[in-house]
Amino acid sequence: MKDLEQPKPPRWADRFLEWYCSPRLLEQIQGDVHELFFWRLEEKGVQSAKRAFAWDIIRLFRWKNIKRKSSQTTQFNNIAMFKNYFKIGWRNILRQKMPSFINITGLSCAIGCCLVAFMFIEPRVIKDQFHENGKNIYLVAHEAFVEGELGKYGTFDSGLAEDLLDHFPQVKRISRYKGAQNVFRIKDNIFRSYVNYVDPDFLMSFSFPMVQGSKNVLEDPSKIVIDQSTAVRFFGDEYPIDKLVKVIFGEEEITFAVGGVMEDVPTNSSLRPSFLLNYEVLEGRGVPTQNNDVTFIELKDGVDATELESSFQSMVALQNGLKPDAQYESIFLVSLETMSNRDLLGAPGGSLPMAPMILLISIATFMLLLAVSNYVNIAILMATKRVKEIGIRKTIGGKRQQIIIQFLTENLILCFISICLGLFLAKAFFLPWFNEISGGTVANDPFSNSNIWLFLSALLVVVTLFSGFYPAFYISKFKPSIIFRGKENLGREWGFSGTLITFQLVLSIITIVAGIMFVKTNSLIENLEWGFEKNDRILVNIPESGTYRSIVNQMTALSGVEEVAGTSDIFGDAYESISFYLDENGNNANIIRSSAIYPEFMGLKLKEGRFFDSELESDVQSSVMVNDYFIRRYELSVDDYIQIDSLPHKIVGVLEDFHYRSLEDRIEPVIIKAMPDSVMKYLTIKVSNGNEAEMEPKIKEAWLGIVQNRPYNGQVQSRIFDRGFEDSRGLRNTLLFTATLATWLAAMGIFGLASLSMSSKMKEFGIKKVLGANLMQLTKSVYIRFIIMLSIAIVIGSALAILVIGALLDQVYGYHDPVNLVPLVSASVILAVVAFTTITSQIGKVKKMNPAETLRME
Amino acid sequence: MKGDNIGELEEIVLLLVGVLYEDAYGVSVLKEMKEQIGREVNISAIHAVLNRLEEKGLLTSDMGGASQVRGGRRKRYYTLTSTGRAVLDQVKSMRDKLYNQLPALNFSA
Repeated sequence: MKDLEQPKPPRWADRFLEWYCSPRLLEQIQGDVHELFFWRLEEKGVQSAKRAFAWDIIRLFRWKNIKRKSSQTTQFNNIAMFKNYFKIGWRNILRQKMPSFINITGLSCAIGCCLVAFMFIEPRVIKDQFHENGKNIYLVAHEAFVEGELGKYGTFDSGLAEDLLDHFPQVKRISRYKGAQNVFRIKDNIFRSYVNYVDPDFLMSFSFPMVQGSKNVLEDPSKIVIDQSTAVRFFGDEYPIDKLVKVIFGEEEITFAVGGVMEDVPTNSSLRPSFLLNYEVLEGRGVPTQNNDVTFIELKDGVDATELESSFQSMVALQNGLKPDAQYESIFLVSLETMSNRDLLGAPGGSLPMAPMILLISIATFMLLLAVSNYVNIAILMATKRVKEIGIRKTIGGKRQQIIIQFLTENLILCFISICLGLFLAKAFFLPWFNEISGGTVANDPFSNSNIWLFLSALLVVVTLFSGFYPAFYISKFKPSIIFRGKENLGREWGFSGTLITFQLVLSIITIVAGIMFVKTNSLIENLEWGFEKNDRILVNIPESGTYRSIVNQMTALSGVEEVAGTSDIFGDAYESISFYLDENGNNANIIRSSAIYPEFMGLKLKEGRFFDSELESDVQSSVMVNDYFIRRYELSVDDYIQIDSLPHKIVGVLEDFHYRSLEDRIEPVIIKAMPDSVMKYLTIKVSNGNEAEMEPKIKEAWLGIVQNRPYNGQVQSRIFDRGFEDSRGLRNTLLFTATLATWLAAMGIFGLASLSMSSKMKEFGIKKVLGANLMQLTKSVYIRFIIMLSIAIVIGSALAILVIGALLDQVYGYHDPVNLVPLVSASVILAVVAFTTITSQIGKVKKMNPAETLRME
Repeated sequence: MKGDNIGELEEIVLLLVGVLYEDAYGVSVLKEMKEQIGREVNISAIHAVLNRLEEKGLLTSDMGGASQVRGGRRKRYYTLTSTGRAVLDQVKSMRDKLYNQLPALNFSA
C-alpha cells in the first residue's frame, strides 16, 4: 500500500503543464518530470524537489511543447451537445414549476426596472448621436477672460459667423442658433414660448426630419417651422401649412405662415427647438441681441477639423480689433457628438438630472441583486435533485467545464425568457406608470431606442453569468464516486444561502424604511401649515406696468371680488434673493416684493412690531418686514436697521414663519419689502368665501377684456403647491412600489429556500414523526435559522437605512422626521411577518405530511 | 545531409542514447549524463535535443510501458538509427584524425 503521506509535486505547476503542453507530448514530458521529482525527493528533500519540479515545468514552456491548434485535439460535436443542453434545460424549467416561477418573475421584474432606468438615463447621457451629418458638424466656441477668469464659451461672434462661409472653403454650411422667448398668437391662443432663430441651412445640416414642407423652407424669412405637437395642439387635424402664426416683438406684431412641420425633437438631443424662424427676422426687432450666438458649422467631407481650427485663429485678431470689450483668447471647435459632455458656457443642452438617475440606478440594482440572489439560492438547492444526472454525465466522460457550460446554458434560457417578460412588463406597466409620475419624459416603446439591443444583450450576459456562475461552479464540483455512494452533504450549504438571504433581507429592510419614511414625510409636507391665507385668492399677471391701474379697477368692479392687492413675488413660489449688509457683513436672504398691504392681506401673522402702513412714505422706501427666522438667525429685533442697496432699511415688523416657497424647502430668512405699484407683476384678488372656482373664469374674461397681445397667466393661490405635491407623491409611490417589490422578491427567496430545504428533508421528518416528534421539534431548527438571519438583517439593514435614507431625505426634503425607531421597527415587523408567514406556509406541508408516504417511496 | 553537423550537447546525447541502448528516455539520459560526465542539464534541454535529433533522423522513438513511479505514464524510448550511428562514427574519426596530427609534446626542450 502506498504511503498516503508521500509528498506530491506542486499541483499548480502540474496544472500549468497540463494546460499549456501539447497533448501529443504531455504524457512523456509529465512522466519525466514526475520521475525526476521522486528521484530528487530521495536525493535532496521535499522543498528542493518541489522547487526543481516547478523550475523544470517553467523551462519546458517552449514553443515546441505548447499546444497550438485546439481543433486538432478537441473535435466534439458541439451542435448536438448544445441541442441536448437546451432540451434538458427547457425540460427542467417546465418540470420545476415553482422554482422556475420564482426565478422568472423575480428576474423579469428586476429587468423591467432596469429597462425603465435605461430608458430614462440613456437619452440623457448619450446625446446628439442621431444626426446624419453629425461627424461633420462642429460648434464654434471660444476662450475668453471674463472678470479675470479664463472661461470656455460655447458661443461665437454672430458677425464673424456670417463671413465664415466666404473665408473658409472647407466650411459647407453655417448655422447660428439663437434662442429667445416670444409671445405668440395662434388663432385665439396667446402664449409665451421659446423660439429659435437659425440660418436657413439649419435644417439641412441637422437631422430634424420634416413631416410636412421642405427642408429649405427657412430661406423665406416670412415662414415659420413648428414641431408636430405644436401643430396638433393648435391646428388639430387641419392641414397646418400656410396657417398663420403671429409673433409679438414689443409693440410690433408680425405674421408668419407655417412653412413646415418637423417631427418632435427626441429626448437625446441637446438642441430642442419647437419653433424655428430665420435669423434675419431678428434684425431690427426688439429681441435682445448679444454679440455672441451659438454657431454651428458643417464641414465638407474629409476636412480635418484640427487643421481648420488652427486656421480659425486668424479671426482672433479680427474679433479683438472689432470688439475691444469682448476679447477672445482663442477659437476652438467642438464636435456636435461630444458637445454635451463638455462644460461650455452658453452652449445648448442642460445639466444632467443626477438625483433621479442615481435613485433609478439604485432601485434597478437592488431589484437585480434580489432576483439574482433568489436564483443563486434556488439553483444550488435544485441541484440536489440533479446530482445523479451530474454524476452520470461525469462518468460517461463529461468534463467539469462542460457541466458548467450546461448549467450556464440552462440559465441562459431562463434569463432569455425573463428578458422577454421584462420587456413586456416594462412596456405594458412600468414605463407608462413611470411616465405618469415623471410627467411623460420617457419613451414608452423600448424599441424606439437604438441602443436597446446592446443593453439587452449586455444585460443577458451579465445576468446569466452573475446568477449562473456560482451555482454552475458549485454543482459541477461534485465527484461521481461520492454522488453514487450518496455521501455528499448536498443542499445543506446554509452558510452561503443564508448569507444571500440575509443580504436580501437587508435590501428589503432598506426599501421598506424608505417607503415608510417617504409616506410619513409626504403626509407631513401635505399637512404643513402654510402660514398664510390660501383660500379664495386668485392671482392674475400684470403684463406691463401701465395696465396695473386698469386691471385693479376692472377687478374691484367685478361682483364677488372683495379686495385686491398687488405683488411682485408669489407666496409659495418666491425664489428671488437679495444681498444685504449687517455691519459691513454681506448676507443673502430671500426677498418678497409686494404692495404695502400685501402681508396683512395674505393673512400673515404678526409676531412683533407692526405691518406696513401704506400712508407712510418711509414704509415704501426704507422699511422692511422679516420673518421670525431672520430675527433668530441674525439676532436682530424690531427697529434694527439693515443695509439694502447701501440704504439703511428699518425692520418695522416681524412675521411668524410662513412657507413663501416650495413646501419641500426649508424656511430661510426672508425679507418683505413694500414696493410702488409700478413694479407689481401680479394682482391677487380676494373673492367672497368659497367662490374660487366660480370666479376664476369671470376674472379671466375681465382680464382678457383689458389686455391684448399678452398671455393670461392666472393662478389659484390654494393650488400653488399642487405640482410639488404631485412630484412628491410620485416619488413616494415609486419608493412604495420598490419596497413592495423588494419584500416580495425576498419573500419568494425565503419561500423557495424553505420549501426546497424542507422537501429534501421530508424523509428525515417522516422518520422523526413516526418516532413521535411533534411539529415544534421538527421545525425548530428551520425557525431558529430564519430568526438568526432576520436578526442580523435587521441590525445591518437598520444601520444602513439610517445612513442611506437619511441622506436621501435630506436631498429631497427640507423637513422630515429623523429615521428613528418607529420606521425601523415597523419595517422589521413587516418583514418578520412576511418571512414567518412564508416559512409557516411551508411548515404546513410538514404538518400535513403522512410519514407513510415519504417512507414508502423506496 | 541535415545531420552532417551536430553540436556538442547533441553529440553527447546521441552517444548516451547509444550507450543506454534499450533504456534511453529523457530522465535516463539526464541521469546517465550526470553520472558519466558529471554534467547537469535541465530536462527541458534534454527533451529539446532528443526532439531535434529525431527530426534530423538520427534517432527513432517509441512509447514504452507504464511505470509506477511516473504515476502510470508511459515513457518515450529512443534508439539510435543507422544514420545516427554513422554520424557518431564520422565525428569520432574526424576527431581522431585531427587528434593524431597534434605534435607530440617535447619534454626534453
